[in-house]
Amino acid sequence: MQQTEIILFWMTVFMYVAAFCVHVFGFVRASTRTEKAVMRLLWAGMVLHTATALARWSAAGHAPVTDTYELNLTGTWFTVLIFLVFERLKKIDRSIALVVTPVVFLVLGHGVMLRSAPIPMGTAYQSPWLVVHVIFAWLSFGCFAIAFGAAVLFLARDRFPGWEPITRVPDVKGLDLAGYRFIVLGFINHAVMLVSGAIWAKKLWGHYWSWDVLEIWSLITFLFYAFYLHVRSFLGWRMRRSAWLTVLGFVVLAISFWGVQWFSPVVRPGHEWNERSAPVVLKKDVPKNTIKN
Amino acid sequence: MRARSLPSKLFDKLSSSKLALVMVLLLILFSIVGAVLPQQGRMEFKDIALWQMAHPTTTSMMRPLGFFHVFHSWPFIITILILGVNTLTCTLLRFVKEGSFSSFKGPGSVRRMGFFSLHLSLILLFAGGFLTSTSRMKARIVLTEGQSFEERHDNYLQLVEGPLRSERHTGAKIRLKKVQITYEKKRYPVDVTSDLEFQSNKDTLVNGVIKVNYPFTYKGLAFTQDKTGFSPRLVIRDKKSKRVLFNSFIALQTFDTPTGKVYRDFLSLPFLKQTYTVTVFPSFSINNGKVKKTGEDPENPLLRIEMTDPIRQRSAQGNLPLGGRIVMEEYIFFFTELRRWSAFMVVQDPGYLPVCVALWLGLGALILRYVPDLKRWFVEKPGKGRHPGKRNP
Repeated sequence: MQQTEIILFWMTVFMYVAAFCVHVFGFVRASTRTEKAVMRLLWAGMVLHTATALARWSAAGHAPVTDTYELNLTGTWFTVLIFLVFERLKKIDRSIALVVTPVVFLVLGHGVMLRSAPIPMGTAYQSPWLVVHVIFAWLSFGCFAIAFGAAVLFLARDRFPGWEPITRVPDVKGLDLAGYRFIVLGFINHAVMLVSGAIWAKKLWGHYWSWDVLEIWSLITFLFYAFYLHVRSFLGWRMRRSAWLTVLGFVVLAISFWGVQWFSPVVRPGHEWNERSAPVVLKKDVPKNTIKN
Repeated sequence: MRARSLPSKLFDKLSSSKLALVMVLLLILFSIVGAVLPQQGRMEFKDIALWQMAHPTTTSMMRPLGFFHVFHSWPFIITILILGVNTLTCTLLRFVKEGSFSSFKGPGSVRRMGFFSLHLSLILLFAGGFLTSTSRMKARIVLTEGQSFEERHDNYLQLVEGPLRSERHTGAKIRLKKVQITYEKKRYPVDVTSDLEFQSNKDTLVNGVIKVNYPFTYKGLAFTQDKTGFSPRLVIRDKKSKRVLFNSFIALQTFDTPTGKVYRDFLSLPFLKQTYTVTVFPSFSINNGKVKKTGEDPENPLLRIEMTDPIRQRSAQGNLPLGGRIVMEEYIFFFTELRRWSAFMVVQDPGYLPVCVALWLGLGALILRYVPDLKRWFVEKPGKGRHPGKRNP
């Protein structure tokens, strides 16, 4: 099963890379005909991606949500799904795939570098709240990634107004609005993720917030996007300022998902209930009361 | 024109959206500090001290501001307070300006309701957070199977109590009856269940089952499952006089290693003249004289005792199966029984209910606030291109 999963994984990556290459080729040559091929390749990638996730699920005996490889696999699946569904509904432009596709295969590549053999799901993860927490975390990531794509295209269009290929992407107002709407969607999903995480933490540790590094970075991301929505509403920061904030927000988001250990004195990633191992019980800690045999 | 009074100016400043933005930015800044610098309560003191020795310049700048305990520092608390007051005044002002309850009627009422509920949830969240930090109790207990514990202040480990919490405790007796762990592939725990008995002075006996993710609440105290490990019962006799020097269970530390869990600890008994380390192998096999752990279930346990004597530069090692004995230096060791220990977090948090209500209210409010925007997006027809925005030919 693991062999099948690996083959399916690389086929998925190949499809996404191929979609990106075809897209870049068509974009530079200012051809719209290649876009259909790009969408077909992305759909094919999505089918293979689903098969990879299912193969992993079957091998591990649980949903692929425990280690970095599994999380990246699931997260990118949600990102591509959101993009394809909204594209199908004609709510976003295909050109945003130019930014979203490389994000997807880079995240997949990062995951496969940390791939490990599937292990049974630990006791801490056996909670219905985990499902809610993870699904909404990745839904928010997908929305923010698409908003980031729109912002990058906005900035490119704004910076090189005379470049012929860039004039074929939607106008700046359309990109700005698309970015804002995906940030709103992502923000709501991120809020659900935080709430479900707090409830899960309460059941697992007894307290809903413990200021561990991952929690803090999630909060920073949430506050950052709250700041974005606030300045947009009250100070009218739109267009270029809004696009730069979206790009910066995505950097913060990426840190909260993968870069926590780079900025933290605690080197290990993850919530700290996985980390607390050795120094929790000392024999001197055992209360001095009678042991009844 | 009449000059505006100072309280009125102050009220305007306090309710301004710019102040809210500054406070949110400050919160982001403090959170980054909290994520980047080692924090008290999250790391051991010695680790923080080591970090500070390695970064003297940063330490000299950050320490006076309390940034090594940033979420309890004055700058952070003041920021939260100002943001709370700002949210309250801003909401009140807007509520009055928009015609109080009549603003919930007519066009745009859903958005307005979303706005007010969102700010109300924030105020409730601040109130809940305040209650938690001032009135919460958080502690640990570690019990070996069969061991009892009296719910008193002195008996807890790592007890943290808010300054406004009363010292009252239930005095209930808690007894750990059994710890059951189910393993997959003999190595990975997939279910941890602790059976406990609770009894107050006059009350009847209450049985409680605690699992990971499924806490048990007794008289307002929530017990959650934490780590588990092994407690071997050791009997130590003097070799010459045969006198019993020690007869008890020892809760060994549990270490997570890449090859699995290791159950090991020092015997810090004052009468011992050498250093002794005890390791439990719950199940084992011997291959070429080497002991290998074969599983986490205590089906066939083995106790390893290692002795080091740095003064006389001697060391020795012995393995004891259950019921076995070994002579080392001037002592005889007996391994008579093996039980499990289980650790529990005990939490009483009056702030959780308001926080919980605030979180759900906030979620609902977010949806109300942004649904009109999203609705417009979904009902609007796409342009001739593939995007609702204008697309250049």
